[in-house]
Amino acid sequence: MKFETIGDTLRVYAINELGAANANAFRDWVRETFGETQKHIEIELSETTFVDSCGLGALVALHKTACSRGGKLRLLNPQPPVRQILELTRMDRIFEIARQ
Amino acid sequence: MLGASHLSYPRTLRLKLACNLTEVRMAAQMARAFLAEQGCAEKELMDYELALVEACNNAIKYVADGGRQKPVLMEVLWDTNEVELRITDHTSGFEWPEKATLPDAESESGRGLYLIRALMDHANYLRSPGENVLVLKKARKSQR
Repeated sequence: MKFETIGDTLRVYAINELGAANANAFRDWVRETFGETQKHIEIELSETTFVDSCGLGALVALHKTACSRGGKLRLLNPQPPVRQILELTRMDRIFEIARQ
Repeated sequence: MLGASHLSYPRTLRLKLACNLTEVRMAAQMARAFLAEQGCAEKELMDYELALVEACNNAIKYVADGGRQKPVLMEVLWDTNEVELRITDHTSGFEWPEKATLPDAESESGRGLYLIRALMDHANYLRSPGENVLVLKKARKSQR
């Protein structure tokens, strides 16, 4: 995983999978990386081939982290398998999803 | 991963996983490859893979210390009409809900059973002392 800072946004990318084996570590790493002056979190999902319910839980946790600073969690470019789980669990109504 | 075997018919894949979450993805990918060899479509493969992952994650996350040394058994049975997935766990078991519902949107857990229900046609959780078996079935797409 890698990250970059764009203004008040932390963008995280190069995520292969978000599942039970790494979801908590991912959540904690993003929170530690989230700078004090940043508000928004963007998760670039174009390279993410698999997300399970634990991965979704990590995204919900980060959504709450961003909201606590008046910001948003945005998911960028989710691929069909990931989009499917977002739609099935109706998380596509909670998260902002964008194509770039 | 302790072992795998193929039988002739119904074609069967059987995998024993150590009680460790890091084992689950590799096992699910092996199941996916097995089902792809049988001719399952991409959408079906995604559904089976995710259902297996959710079921095995639960089997590992909720096991008590006494059951942690015992493997989780994953079985995939394919025939022309349907695919059956069986996951044997050593947890204390739980009441399988007749209807799985989504948790509150802000909840960080509780979506696994809902996903299994949504992805598969049939689910039955067979409880017995010492081990439980989750049986999941889904009709082949061309058979519906």
